[in-house]
Amino acid sequence: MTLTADLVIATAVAYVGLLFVIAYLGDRQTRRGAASFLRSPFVYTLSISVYCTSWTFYGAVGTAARSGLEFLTIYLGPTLVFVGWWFILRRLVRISHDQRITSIADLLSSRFGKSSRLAVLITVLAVIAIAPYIALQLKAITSSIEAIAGSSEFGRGSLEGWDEVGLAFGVAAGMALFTILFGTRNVDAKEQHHGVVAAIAFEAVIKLTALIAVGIFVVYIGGGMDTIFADAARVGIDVHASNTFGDRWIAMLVLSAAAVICLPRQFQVTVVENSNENHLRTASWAFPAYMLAMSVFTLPIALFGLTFMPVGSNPDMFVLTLPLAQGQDWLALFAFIGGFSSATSMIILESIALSIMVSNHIVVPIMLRLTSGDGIGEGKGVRRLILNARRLSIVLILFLGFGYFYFTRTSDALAPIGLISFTGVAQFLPAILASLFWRDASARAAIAAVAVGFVVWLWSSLMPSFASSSSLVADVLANGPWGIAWLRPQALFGLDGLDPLTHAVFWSLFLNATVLILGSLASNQSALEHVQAALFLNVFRRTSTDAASMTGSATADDLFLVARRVLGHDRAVDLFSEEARIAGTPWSALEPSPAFIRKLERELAGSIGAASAHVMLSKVVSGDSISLEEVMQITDETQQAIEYSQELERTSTQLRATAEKLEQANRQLRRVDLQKDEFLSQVSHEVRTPMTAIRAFSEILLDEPGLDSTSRDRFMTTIHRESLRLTSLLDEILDLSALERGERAWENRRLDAEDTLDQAIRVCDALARQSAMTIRLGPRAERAIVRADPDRLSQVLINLISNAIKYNRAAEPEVEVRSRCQDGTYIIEVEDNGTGIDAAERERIFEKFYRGDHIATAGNAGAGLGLPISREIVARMNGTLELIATARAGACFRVSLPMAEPGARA
Amino acid sequence: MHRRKVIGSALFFSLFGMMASVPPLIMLFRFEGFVFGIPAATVFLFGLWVFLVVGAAWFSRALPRDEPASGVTKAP
Repeated sequence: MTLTADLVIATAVAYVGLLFVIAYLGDRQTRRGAASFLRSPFVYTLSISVYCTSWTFYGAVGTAARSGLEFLTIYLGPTLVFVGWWFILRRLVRISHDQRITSIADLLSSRFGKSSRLAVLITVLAVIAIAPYIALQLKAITSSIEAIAGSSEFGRGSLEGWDEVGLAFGVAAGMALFTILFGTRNVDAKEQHHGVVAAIAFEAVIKLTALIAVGIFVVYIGGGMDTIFADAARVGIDVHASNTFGDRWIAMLVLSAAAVICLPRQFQVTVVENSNENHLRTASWAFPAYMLAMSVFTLPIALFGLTFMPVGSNPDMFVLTLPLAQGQDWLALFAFIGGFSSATSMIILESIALSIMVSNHIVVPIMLRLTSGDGIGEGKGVRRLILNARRLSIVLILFLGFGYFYFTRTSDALAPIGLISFTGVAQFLPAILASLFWRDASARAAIAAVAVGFVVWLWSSLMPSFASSSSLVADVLANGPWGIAWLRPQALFGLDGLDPLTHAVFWSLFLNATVLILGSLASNQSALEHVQAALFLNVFRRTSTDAASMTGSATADDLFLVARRVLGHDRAVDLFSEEARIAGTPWSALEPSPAFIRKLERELAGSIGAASAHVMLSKVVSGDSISLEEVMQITDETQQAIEYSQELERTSTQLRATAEKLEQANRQLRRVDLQKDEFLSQVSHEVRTPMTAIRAFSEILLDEPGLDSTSRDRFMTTIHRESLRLTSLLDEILDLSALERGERAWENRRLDAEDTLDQAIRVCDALARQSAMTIRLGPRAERAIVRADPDRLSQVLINLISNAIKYNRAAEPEVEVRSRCQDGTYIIEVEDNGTGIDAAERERIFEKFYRGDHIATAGNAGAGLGLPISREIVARMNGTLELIATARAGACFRVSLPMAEPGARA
Repeated sequence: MHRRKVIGSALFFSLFGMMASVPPLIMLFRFEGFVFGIPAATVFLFGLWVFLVVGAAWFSRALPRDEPASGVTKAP
């Protein structure tokens, strides 16, 4: 068999036909609900493998031949992203399911307050950024056909007269037609294309098998892996990665990791086409394994090609030219189909993904703006319009790719073209990460950030690639615009010496992220942004309240019209019937609930994107509805009112507390005032009795001069005694008041309290003998060192013992004095066996001038100041004086003093 | 293993993969040796890759399963 261009083109067309059949069958099976294997995690994984395009199939070998291990970065980056699927991809998938996200532009627009402006920006930028990538595929297909055509004498066949550009144009046109037939047959409720996914999965298997077949063949004829490396080393090829791991390595790793998230087609297959979150689990290892299998033979093929192919042959085409050179035409044809597979799958999916973005974010909004409310298309208008818009955008996208190919056709390597696209779409990454993890990122900042990143990309990455075809660009590259050196595209701000790719990646992403962060910090979010940010951030913490809903009084008819135009008659009828069934009312009486409107909005968003769905529904639902901004404002005001009332409540609680304190102080004042009055009257009373006696007797002495001397003496004695009593009373009052005000000079010093107690007992002993009673000594402490004033302590003890003697009415009166040391406290107890003190009097016994009833009746009553003075004195020695209850009837007073040397008993 | 610990290990595993594939760690394998006739750096990178795939396969089973999102509907 001789391979000719005609043959490979015929094969390619046949292959496309096969794809079409697979897609058709896939769609039909899905509609029947029979194609469960199409929803298996492995088909999902294979569809993600659309990441491996002809860049991988042909270009990776080229990169390996030119820069060794560097080609691996393109696969290690995505491997890392998938290994860490739990942290980013899982969130993306969950959010997209919840919000019916249809594309990457939809995702960002939805997060940033359903901003149409952001969606338009992302769409336009994605279309521009992908152009080089499409060009890469066109170039790969064209080069592979050329390689086969050039391999034999009559190889060109009917291609005679076609140059490379014409061929590429033909390929682009064919691809456009094919993609239109393939991807735009219908608008799904959710943008899932099961037929296309089936075809893509099939292609993934084909390209992997083809590449491995070539790899095994090369290893076989090369004599094994080790021989290939040894041969390559012998002819002087650097098989050790001596210069590989530099800044460029890191930049490419970052780029490829970003690309597998941000590329529109990767977002489409990984996130939008995902029918079950758990498929991501399998993909997390199966997709890296797929890429690993794709890369195993890359290095051997490259090295073998470099070693044995003639100098000057294009390393990008080694996969094809090595079998050709060995006369293996069938293998070469298979390799061609593999490469063709990888290119077509990329072109199909990328242009479907981009066309969805263009129609949802550019065409539909324009249409909505042109038509006012009611006249949204006619009949199936919206759907037909959407489909036509998609078809048109597919054509546009492919010809943008062709345009780029045309202008850069003189550059030879595939991979650098792909990296330009990667750098372009990587500009979405900061915004995506912010939307997943940062609540305060704002729409205005996101728009500015993406725009800045993109301008830098245009300047330092895309524009330099035209240098070979435009002398103007070459001049700007060398000298900067108008000779401004610091604006040179590959040495911005004077940063030269970096690899151009690293330079572009660094500046674009750095400025992008900086603008996003600073802009968000400086600007405010709209209400809707606020709500959406919360929804995105809390996607795994579901709450039943969904604030971002429209409320209003749209009739079911209005809503149905909108739904039918976008979703199609059947789907709309289904939706409304279900709602009517749930509400339990007939169709005609259906009152759309906010929940239903929200559901409808989500359904619409699945077809035309969040921003457009929102605008479309607001047109119908407006009327007397409350806008979200108003709701937020009301909430704000309510919040303020609540805060204000809380403030008031706090103040009033404080006031209440203050008033209570005042009340308390007032009560105390009144009590003290009363005590003062009582004290005064008692003092007057106490003073009055002796004064009366003195006055009476002195008057008798004055009035009756003839009084006998005996009487005179008696009267004089009485006057003298009463004067003494008066003086002693006044002394006591002065003493007490001085003690209470702390005016007395006072010196506590270390002394043995037992000595003082003995002394007091001795003093009282005489008094006891007088009263014919005994002082019984109970158990005593041996030695008790306290800090006290000896005279004052003695005064207290004498007072207590003498009281016990004086007021004892028992038949055999007796006083017991005992003392002990306990827990660092010295305790003296004085107990009598008298009648004791009533419970009612116990409280008052320490009040001034208070004398118990039985005491008052006794003739030898004191002023009633002894106990108050004693208590005051003991308090000054940091001790206490109290009346304690005992088993016996009599009274028992206890003096407790802290010991200066606790435990010192010896 | 505890749910949080599994998630923590998954995070560490991803970060480890990241650290191992960029300088300076990767520089360790830049010496001019051969393993079964294949350069050391190549063996290391593919070895790391296989390790990541195996680890990811383990984590895909070990990581907790959430209840599916309410918003997920299978396409008709």
